[in-house]
Amino acid sequence: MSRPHEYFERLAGIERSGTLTKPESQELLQHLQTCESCRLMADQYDTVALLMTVAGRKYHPDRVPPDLIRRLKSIGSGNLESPKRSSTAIISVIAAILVFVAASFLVWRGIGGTRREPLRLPEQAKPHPLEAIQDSAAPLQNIAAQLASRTEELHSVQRSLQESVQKVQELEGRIASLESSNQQLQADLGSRQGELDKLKTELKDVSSKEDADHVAASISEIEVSRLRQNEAKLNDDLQEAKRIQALLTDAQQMIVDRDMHTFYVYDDKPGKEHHPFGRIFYSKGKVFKFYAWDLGDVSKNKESFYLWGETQTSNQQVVNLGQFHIDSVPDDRWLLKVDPRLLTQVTSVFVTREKGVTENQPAGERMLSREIKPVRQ
Amino acid sequence: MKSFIRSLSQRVGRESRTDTELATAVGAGSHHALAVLIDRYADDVYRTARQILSDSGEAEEVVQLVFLESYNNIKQFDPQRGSFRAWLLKRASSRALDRMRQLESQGVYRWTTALEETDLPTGVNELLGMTTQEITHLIEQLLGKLPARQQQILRMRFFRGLSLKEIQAETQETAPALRHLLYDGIEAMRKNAIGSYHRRAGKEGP
Repeated sequence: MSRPHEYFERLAGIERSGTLTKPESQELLQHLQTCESCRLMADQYDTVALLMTVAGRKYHPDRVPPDLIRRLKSIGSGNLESPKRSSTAIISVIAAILVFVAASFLVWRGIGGTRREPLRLPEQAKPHPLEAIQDSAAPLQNIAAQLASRTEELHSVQRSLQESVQKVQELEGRIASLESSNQQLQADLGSRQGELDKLKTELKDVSSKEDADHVAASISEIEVSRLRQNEAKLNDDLQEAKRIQALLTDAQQMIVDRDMHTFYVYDDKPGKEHHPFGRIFYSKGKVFKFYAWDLGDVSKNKESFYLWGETQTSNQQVVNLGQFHIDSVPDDRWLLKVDPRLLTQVTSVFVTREKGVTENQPAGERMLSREIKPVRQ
Repeated sequence: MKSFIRSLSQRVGRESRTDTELATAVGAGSHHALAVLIDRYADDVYRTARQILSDSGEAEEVVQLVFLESYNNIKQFDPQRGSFRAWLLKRASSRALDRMRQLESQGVYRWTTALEETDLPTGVNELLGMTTQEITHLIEQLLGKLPARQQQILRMRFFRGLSLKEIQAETQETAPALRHLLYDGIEAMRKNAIGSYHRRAGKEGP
């Protein structure tokens, strides 16, 4: 029964794992001998395994035993190049060659220098010893030239080394210089750091002082503000005093004036103790003032107080003389200034309590009444 | 100057010649060139053989066989068909597999010779021409694409050189499951390696 290629490819893939059974191995071998595509596949598997084996050397270095290496290196010995010579042996050989070359060269120069003419020998004759020396000197000259070339190369290497050493020395000098500069910079840095710390301390002190000044300034501002408030209050008091002074002056003026008349206004409700409820100051030809006290808290009831005048004519008429206004809150004093010309028309006055504003006729309760004499201008 | 430095480095053991130059020198009879190649690749050959055979003694035998055959057949190496490392490691792999089969069936199978002589441009063989560092980087990249269990099994098998029984003992996996994991892992690595080769070829191409 023939199996598909995939079967053999799979066998080839796992052959390197060592898990093939003996029949599988034989079956694979027989197939590979006749199937090139499966051989190609087997080769690829084998190469992948080799790649992994090479890569694994990094992690698990599996070294060949040293004695095996020695045995391997003996392969082919005897008909191959000789073992590596030591450097001492090489130097000895070179020295011997140099001595031999120098000696040969001197001999050749010494003999050749005295030779006037070249020796002419019969063609069949044995070569002259000097010619033989010349012949043997030719390869030596080549060796000498090679040695000269090598010597020149050595000198070149030596010069390169000297240049490198000089560069290294220069670099070392620069490094030393840089280190010195670095140390100097470190020292400067330490010094600057100290100065900086000092400045920081001073700045801190100044800041503290500024804080104190700031507190003092704040206190001063508060004091000034308080003083200004006091000043404003004093100004108000002064204004009030001036106003009172003006009133007093006015009153004194009225008192001084002989034409001033004062009469009191009483509540005309029966059964009540009569006490002056209002006081009228009248200065002839100048002013007529009606004062009232204790008229109640009008702000709550939104009430107004009006002064009315009555005429004693046949058809009695009521004249609105005006509305009281608060003259002094602390004293609960009311004031109404009346044009004296109106008083010439009335014989009595009275006060009413009104709700809201009224103009021509009193609607509220009549509270105060007083007959007055007509003012004569 | 370069020749002088090269000769100096040879004297102190730092061989700067390429594998191909050394192989040519071996072909010309240079024992020193062979010694350098042995120093370079004996560990890789040994690891390859040991990984397949799971036996140090058998692996040593294979290493000797591989270098002896390589020395005798060095003229078969054609640098136009691949790197010396690929040529050598393929030979090591083949000989190790031969030995494994021989041990299993006491029969000698030489089918791998055909593979060695073919050196088909498979798209993976060429990757063996990279440096060890490049190979390590590439394999780590490819392994990183695999599931964790597959990565673990492949690392145990190819990095640590553990046998199937040793892996079973560590992972407690059954033999069929292990076989399945190994196949899936190496198949994924093969496909990814081919893809990587094509990307590299495209990148390095004109």
